[in-house]
Amino acid sequence: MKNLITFDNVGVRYGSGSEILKDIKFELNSGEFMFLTGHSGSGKTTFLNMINGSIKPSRGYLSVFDHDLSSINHKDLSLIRRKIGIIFQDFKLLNHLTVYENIALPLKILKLHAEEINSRVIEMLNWIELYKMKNVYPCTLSGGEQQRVAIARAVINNPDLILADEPTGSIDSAMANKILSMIEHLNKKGVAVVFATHNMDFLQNTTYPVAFVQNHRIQVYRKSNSES
Amino acid sequence: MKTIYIIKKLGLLLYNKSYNLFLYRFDSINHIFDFQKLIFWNKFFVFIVSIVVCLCIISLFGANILERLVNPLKFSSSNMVILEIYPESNQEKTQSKVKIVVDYLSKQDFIIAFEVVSKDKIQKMLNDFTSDFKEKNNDIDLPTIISIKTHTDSQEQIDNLRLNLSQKAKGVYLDTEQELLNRLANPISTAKYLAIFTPLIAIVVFISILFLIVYAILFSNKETIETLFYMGMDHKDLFIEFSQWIFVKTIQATLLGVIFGIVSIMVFISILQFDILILPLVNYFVFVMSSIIFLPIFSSLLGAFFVSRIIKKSFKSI
Ligand SMILES: Nc1ncnc2c1ncn2[C@@H]1O[C@H](COP(=O)(O)OP(=O)(O)O)[C@@H](O)[C@H]1O
Ligand SMILES: [Mg+2]
Repeated sequence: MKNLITFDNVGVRYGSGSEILKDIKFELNSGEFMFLTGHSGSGKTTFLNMINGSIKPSRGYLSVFDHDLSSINHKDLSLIRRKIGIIFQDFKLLNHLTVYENIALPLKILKLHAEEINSRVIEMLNWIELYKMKNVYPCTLSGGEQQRVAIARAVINNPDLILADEPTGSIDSAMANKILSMIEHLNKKGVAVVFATHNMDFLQNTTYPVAFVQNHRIQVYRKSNSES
Repeated sequence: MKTIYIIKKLGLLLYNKSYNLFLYRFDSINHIFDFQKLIFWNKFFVFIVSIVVCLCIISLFGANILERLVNPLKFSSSNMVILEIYPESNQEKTQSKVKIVVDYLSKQDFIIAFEVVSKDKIQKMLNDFTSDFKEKNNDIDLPTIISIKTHTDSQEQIDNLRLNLSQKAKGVYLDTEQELLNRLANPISTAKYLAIFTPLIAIVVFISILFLIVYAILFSNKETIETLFYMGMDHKDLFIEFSQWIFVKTIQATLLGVIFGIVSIMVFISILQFDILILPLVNYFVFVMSSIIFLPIFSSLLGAFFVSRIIKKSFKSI
């Protein structure tokens, strides 16, 4: 299997503060699903931001899609990001655009034709069951609805990797399960996923590997039948 | 009052209609960025830039008018000097004074020729002004007038001549048309400075306004831009979007400025009753065409440069 993400002895700090994360050794293969957990403020978001290239490691080697992120140029970084779907903890939906336009953004960045954009966005809207809301502005939606719009926007350009930052953080458990199964569905089609969560139900019953962020370090636990 | 109100309303309507119909389509950036928030900046930019272009045209016009007014003087003034010798108490004294001056003039190398203007000619000239001059002032002694043609129009040599003559005899005045020009020198140089500095100041104002507006747009769309970067937008795409937008805005502003400028020149011409043909129309055509072509190109390139600077300095997620 191919390594999508490789951390080797990576440390990261904000400005001149102490290291938020240190000695990270971490690998994610293509098509793999992994939970990421740890108490609030432990550094999950920081970790995901390193993978998408917005925070540079202060030491160590970090590569994503075979690109060394410490020496990457703008062009390559933007190409890598087109292969990563990010579901932000705070959604980052654009409030001056409608639900439809928000979901269409990644395809506009790819400069696809209007008809293709239209058909794919409508497909997505049906998948997240928000077709009726397509001309509504995100600020009028409920938390769960915004969450689904954020997911649709993250996956519409068929990424190879999904970084989900607590996508079930602010919603009830029925909706949370639904969102998990939506992302699992994508994983079954071969998309690698890093799923940051606090949800104990997910973590206790899972067969997926779980990465724990604790004491500034990351430890990956796998079920006994696979390698450590 | 009512007419002004109606004109205002109509103007606004026309602007908005043309914006919706024509310009919005070119603003591809509008579909992603929140330009609704920026209506003020949009209009501010167009307004200032059009005023700047308009002022450039008007100052060019002013400089041209002055230049044209002064030019005929310049041509005729070349190498002509008028000498006036005022009469003494009696004929004899006056004649000896004139002789001294004439002797002196004939020794000067740089004087090609000189001619004592005859009394009759002076009388005739004066009669043109006042028909009854002769009857009333027949007994008045007229000054002797000598017109001199010189090789040089060097001010230094003329000054020298004036100094030497005043030492040789009293009541000798050298009058050059250069004097007149000197008196006009101030307005001429003012016009020249105006013609040079207005475009310079205009360029400075233009660049600052451009920077200001790029800054305002970038920062009021900071979140949008950062989110777009997260989704893999290329820097180049952002620059292109911005250049296109600035290009369209600058064309709009330049056209408006040109129209304002031409209208105000027309108003000046009709008020001051100038002959339109004294304007070098070709100059205006060149100026207007080059500003319509080059200003948008210049501004869109410069705008893209500003965008890249600001993005590099103060945007994360890159
Ligand atoms: N931009 C920042 N500047 C400085 N410190 C930050 C910044 N972002 C996060 N931190 C700090 O880094 C630590 C980890 O934050 P974060 O990655 O957001 O944690 P989590 O997502 O697990 O809740 C926290 O202590 C937080 O205060
Ligand atoms: Mg977080």
